[in-house]
Formats: sequence, structure tokens, C-alpha cells
Amino acid sequence: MKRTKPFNFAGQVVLVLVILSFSLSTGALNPNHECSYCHLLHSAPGQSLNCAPVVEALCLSCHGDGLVAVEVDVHLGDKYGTFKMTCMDCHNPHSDMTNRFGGTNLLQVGRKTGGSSVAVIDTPNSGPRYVVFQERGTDAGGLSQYSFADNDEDGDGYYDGVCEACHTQPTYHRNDSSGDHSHYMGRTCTICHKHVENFLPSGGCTACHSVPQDKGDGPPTRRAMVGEFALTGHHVSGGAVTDDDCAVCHLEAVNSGYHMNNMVDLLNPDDTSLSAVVSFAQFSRNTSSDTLESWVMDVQDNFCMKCHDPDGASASNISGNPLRPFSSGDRDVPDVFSRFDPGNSYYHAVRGAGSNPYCIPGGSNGNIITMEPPWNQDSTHDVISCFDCHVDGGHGSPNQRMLRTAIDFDAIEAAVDPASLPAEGGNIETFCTRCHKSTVYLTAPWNSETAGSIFEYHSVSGNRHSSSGGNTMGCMGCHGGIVNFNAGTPPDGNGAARGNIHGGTFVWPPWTFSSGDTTEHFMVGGWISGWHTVGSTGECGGGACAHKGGPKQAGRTYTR
Amino acid sequence: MMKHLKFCIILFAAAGILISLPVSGFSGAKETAEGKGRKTDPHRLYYPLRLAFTPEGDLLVSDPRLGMILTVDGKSLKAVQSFPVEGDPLGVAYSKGHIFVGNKSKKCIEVYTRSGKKQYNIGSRGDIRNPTDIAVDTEAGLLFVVDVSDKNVKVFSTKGRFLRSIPAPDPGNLQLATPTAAAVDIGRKEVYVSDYGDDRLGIAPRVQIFDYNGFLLDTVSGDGSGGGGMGMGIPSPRFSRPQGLAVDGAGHLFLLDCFSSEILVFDRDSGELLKTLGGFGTDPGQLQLPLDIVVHPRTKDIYVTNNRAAAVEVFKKGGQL
Repeated sequence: MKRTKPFNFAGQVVLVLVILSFSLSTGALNPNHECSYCHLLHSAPGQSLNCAPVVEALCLSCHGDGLVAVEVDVHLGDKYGTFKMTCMDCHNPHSDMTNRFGGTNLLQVGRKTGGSSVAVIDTPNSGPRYVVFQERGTDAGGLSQYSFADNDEDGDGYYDGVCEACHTQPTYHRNDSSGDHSHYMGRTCTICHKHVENFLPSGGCTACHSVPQDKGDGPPTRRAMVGEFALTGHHVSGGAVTDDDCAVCHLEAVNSGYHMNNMVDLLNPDDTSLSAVVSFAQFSRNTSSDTLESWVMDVQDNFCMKCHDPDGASASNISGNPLRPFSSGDRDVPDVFSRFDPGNSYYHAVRGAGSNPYCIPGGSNGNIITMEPPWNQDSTHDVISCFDCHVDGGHGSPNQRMLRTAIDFDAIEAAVDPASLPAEGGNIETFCTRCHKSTVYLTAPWNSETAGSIFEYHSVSGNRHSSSGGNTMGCMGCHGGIVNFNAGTPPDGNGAARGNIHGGTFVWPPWTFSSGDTTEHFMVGGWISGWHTVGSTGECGGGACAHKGGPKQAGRTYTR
Repeated sequence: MMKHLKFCIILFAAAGILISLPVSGFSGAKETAEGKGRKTDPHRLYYPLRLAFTPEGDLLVSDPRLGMILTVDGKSLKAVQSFPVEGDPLGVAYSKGHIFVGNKSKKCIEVYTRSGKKQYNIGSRGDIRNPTDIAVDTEAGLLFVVDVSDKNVKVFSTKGRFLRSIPAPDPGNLQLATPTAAAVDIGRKEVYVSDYGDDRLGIAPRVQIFDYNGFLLDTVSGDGSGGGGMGMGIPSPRFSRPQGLAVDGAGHLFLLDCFSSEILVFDRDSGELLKTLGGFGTDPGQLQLPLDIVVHPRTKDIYVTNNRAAAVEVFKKGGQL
């Protein structure tokens, strides 16, 4: 390949003059483009561009991935024909042109084709079309540029947005009044239809899903997702959600062939094959039914539990830490799979039916119904799902821990004394009594065998476990291990039992009333100092409880 | 490949003079791993950018539009394996079982196993902004990361410890203007950095050669003058968009000019242009926006990412001089 051309001084002079006159005739040369960026000024006349046969290669020698300027590509889509738009079909590399309103187009949009003295685009089906793409200013708010597609905002009957100019067949924003001109009016087309992706709808997960999405074929539509990750309780801790975070869970984020197929395709967090393990059109859990939907079980068993297990999202390559699979994780994935193990001494009935007879009408329970509908309808123990306690949105919730009920766990955990518990402690009751019958536990006489669960020395009028009277510790004062108490005790005291509300096998530490005993019935609350089962009853150490500052209460007996 | 009915065979005389001849039916000089397919196909190239050899002679190819690192068989030039990278993978390098990927989105170097399992990040605390290329000295355990946004080359240990930046902070050193790619000569302990220059500052496109500590040793200028603007007044520019580059350990520098789509071979010491290969076009033997190059140390085959053709090309024995 010969590189050096004959030196032809006269030819060069002519060429330079031609180039300069052309530049001057089209206005000032764009300050970001020097002549020599594209022109070989000292080659033979007629060979001003070295890459003329495929001009985008010339443009992309600067404007491309891994190069030195912004990322661009050409309009390669062939959905509506075999034409191919290339850089100079829309851009004049020499200057920002004057548009038909006398303003100046940005980004060198528009050319002088078709004999026009102002910016036009020579389109495949409509011939030369005027194009306006200039700074909008602050008059309309939001957009800094127009008109990608403005639905003839100026009302002159001419659709001159840079996207509209060419469109004659797409569904949205054609260059006449036909079709749908309402598609995301007021938004910037290239947020979703990126130049670098040939204007195909590929703006990135978070760019497009910051607003509701409807691809125009009816349900299912997609709600705005990004904002959900900023709610009080949410997945992706420690930072804003990114496109990469989406790819931890969604196959659509890594394989565009699954995008916009009217299905949500979830990845198996433990499988690197990048195939869908669960697919559904739209997800919901009907909490008024004790029959768990098939898709609920599918998502729970094959998706949620694959991540919330001891090895986390072992296939995720986002953060390099499978226990913190998202890009900004600041805490490990809670291993609830292990906590739901039916072999544990206590567990909520997610991985299998429970073993607590008090949750089953009949038999040893004395036919006392201790569950609220719909969980009170069977003579066998029901199985519940993640989504009976947690919201089914998956991304976030206004409630802490993505629960279906608002509880201020942070304030509760910050309390060091029952007397300082916030009122939200009562909300724990609201939460628990979504399933557990409130009248049994909150209002029954303390010594009534027929009404419900009995707490010796904790009467209704006295120290009942309700926020509306007596102390306000709520259910989790004794059950579930959420409360962090007893400053000064070893750090693995009761407060370490956080998360036990799902289940577990907790052995009381040596300094507690029931040292060495494996607890049952979720008796790992922060305000007690021990529990052991005695036949059909049990004994509790009062611990800090309402007796904080006094001696431990040894051996109080409970009938159930 | 057999589909090339006409081809350009490149013969070299003993003195290293290049002769280009069209040959009918010849299929051995340049082969192509074409890959212009759907973006969702994990074994098809879409926007091949950077290259690196594996110990087996296969090629690791970064493709930021696919968001993947692909392994291309060195003989068949077919993509045989791939793994996804979340973000925009730019530079790629290989060392001791680790694949180093410059991730523009994550602004760091991500380290993967051969199977694509991510191991750790380098420079994720804001040290790296736009890692367009990576070169590695396996013996020294050094990683050279070209950061076009910061206009420098950052040197890390392969374990991830930041060591220094190139150029060294020395008043005598010319700063990099628009660095795009790098290569290392592990024998000479030299770092070669291609630099678009900056016309507005009167900095010509060039290749700058530094020692490992970042001190400038030499410059190969695109305008043939060793300085000045690349535009008017400077005759016969030799290259204007210097991209990927490679060295053969024998004092030869192989440089891609993605503007002219040529492979230029320079003598390291004299700066003399020894020969060119390629050239812009779609015919066999021609390239469209080539972006990276590697030269096989034994066979002297030259491999190039031919970006607009969405392919990896090989110039058989093109590195022989």
C-alpha cells in the first residue's frame, strides 16, 4: 500500500482555497473541528478525505467507543426499509447551520441539500425536510434542546424535529400529523433511543425505567422502577441503582432479546448461563388467599431464595462479592433460606409447614383459633410466602425492610430501655397481626384458657404486651429477636438475634437465665433473658423487660 | 477464508521492501472473523475494539457495544467463548490466568478468570476515568492503563496497587495530549503510548516512548517532523489517528492509523517508516477503522480489530521484516 502522494503545489493551493471558501460559505468552521482532522491538505487534488467511501469510519476515528470524543453511530435500522443513514445525512461537519427560523442548529444538524439555504435533512421518503435543532432556553423547562420531536409545537403545520423530519412509517412522531405524536412528549428522544445504539430503544435500564413504560401494545405496562430504589426500604443498598444492578436480577438487562417481550425474565443468581429461571407477565400476591400462586412460589424458590442463601448471588459478577451483588452494597445479603429450614427449632412456614400447634385450630390448641383469615381456615398448618410479609414490588417500599406494614425498626433498635421504645413499637403488633389473631394476644384475659395465649404476670390492665397499655414492647419484645438491649452484656446477647423472625436455632448464652437451652416459639426477643420449654408450657426469664434495673425474673411460667 | 476469491498477498523482498499483488483464489494471507450479527449473539463480534493474546495464541477481544469479552480462536478467527462485562469494556489484557478489562462505565479495571468470573477491581476509588487500553508486563507484574480522560497512563501492580502515572511529573516531560493506546517492550522496559495530539495546541499525533518510571525517551511523530501541528505547513503526515500499537521485541513498532486504516511499521531507534499494510477499504487486505493490533511473537502473524467490518483480521506473517 503506497502512502506518499506526489507533491502538487498548485493542486494543494486550489484544494485549500476550495475548502476555505466552502467553510466560509457555510458559516464559521465549528471550533471543535480543525480542517486537518479530516482533510489531507497536502495530498493530490480530489483526495481531500482519506476515508470518503465510508464516511462514518472517518467520523468514528474520533467519535467512537474507546476513542476520544462522544460515542456515536449511524442509523442502521432496516425495519422500515433498506436505507441506511450515515453521519453526513444528518450532520454538516463544517458548521452549525442556520435553521428555517433563523436560529442556529446545534451539533451540526442539517445540511444544505436540495438547494436549501437553511438546514435540511435529505430523507429517504420525503425528500429534503427542514430541520430545527437548537437551544430551547428556559421557556419550556426541562429540555435543553429541541426539537427531537415536538409535535409541531409552534403550530405551523410543519414537523421539523430532527427525529420527525425523516419519519414516515414509525408508530410515533411522523413528519406529518398522522400516527401518534403523544409518545413521551417533552422528553429527550435520545435518552431511550441512543445515537450509539442506532436510535433503537436502548437508553439503558435506569434511563428508560425512570418513568412508566408502555410499548404501545396494551398490557402489561411497566411502572417507573428507578424511584422505587430510593424508597425507605429497597434492594440495592448504599447507593443509587445502576444499569449494572438491574443485570443482577433481570435477564433483559444483559440480553436485549428478552427486552420488551411482555415478560419479566429473572436470572438465577447462582447460575452463570444467563438464562431465565423465572418468567412472568406481571407479579402479584393475593394476601387474602391462603393458596399461594404458582408464580409466587416460582419466584420465591428459584429467585429470592437463590440469593438470600448462604452463598448469596454466586453468579453475579457485578461487585465481585456474591454476598453484596449490587454495585453499591453496604451490607450482606440476609440468609433467610437457612432460617426457614424446617429443621430449625423455630421458623416461619415458608420452606415447609410449621410445627407450632398454636397456629392450628384444634388438637392441642384447644380449638382456639389463633390466626387471622385466610390462615384460620384449615386444620393443617398453612405455608406462607415471602410476599405475605414483604411487598411484591421487589424493588422498594415506603416501609422499612420492604415490609407490607410500616414499622420504624431503626428507632426500635436504637432503644435501650422499654420505656424509651417509640410508639412504632405498636406497629409491630399491626404487622404480626396481619396473620396472628389480634384478639387472642392483645385483648384476652391473662388467665383465660378459652380466649388465647396466656402470659402470667402480664395482665391486660397491667403489663400486657401492647402499645396501647402497659409497656410498649410489642410482640418482638419476646419474639423474633429484633430489639437490641442490655448495653454492657456481651455483644452476642439477645440483640444478636436480629433476623430471627424468619427462623433459627438460638442457644441462650451462658449469662442468661436459660443458659445453653435451645429456644422455641421464636422466644429470642431482646427484652427477655431466657426461655425454656417445660412440657406444654415454658419458663421465661424476665430479663431487662419491664424490670430493667431490678433482679432478673426467674422462672415465670406460661401456659402457652 | 475460502470465500475470498481475490486477495492481496504481501511479499517481502530480502531488504524488506513491500510489494502488494492481487492474487486470485489465494486464501492464506488474510483471514477474517466476521461478526456483524445481532448484538445478542454472544459469539459474534459487533464493535471489536482491543486485543490481547492468551498463552494458547487465541485472542481476547473487547466489544463495548456487546458488553462482552470474546475469545477468538487464533486459527479459525471465530469467537469460541465469551463472557459479559457489565458496562463498557474497553482495554483488555491477559496475565497469569487473569483477564484485565478496562471498564469505562465502572471507571476501573475489572479482573476476571478465564471463564469470566469476576475476581477483583483495580482503581475503583476514582483513580481511573476512561481506561481505553491496557498493556501488561507479566514478568514485572505491572499493568499500564491508558486513561484518555486524565491524559495519562496509570501504572498499577497486577494485584491492584497504584504505583505511578506516566508521564512522570517532570518539567522536562511533554504531557500526553490525547492518549489512546499503549504497548510495552518488556525487554527494553519501555512503554509506547499512541497519542492523537491536539491540533489546537500544535501537538502532532505521535507515539511517545517512556521508561517504566514515566520519563520520556523518544517520540515518533505523525507529521514526520518530531513536532509541530499535523495540519497545514507540515508535509507528508505519516499518521493522524494513532490507535493500537505493538512491538516485536526486535526494535520494531507496529502502529495502527485508524484514519488511513493502515498498519505502519517503524524502526524503534531511527523512527524510519519501514513498511505499511492494509489501507482503507472493504476489499480483502483492506481495513475500515482498525483499532488494535497484536503481533504473534513466533509466527509474526499480525492480528487487527477491523472495527467497521466487525471482524478480527490476520495478516499472515505480516510482522516479518
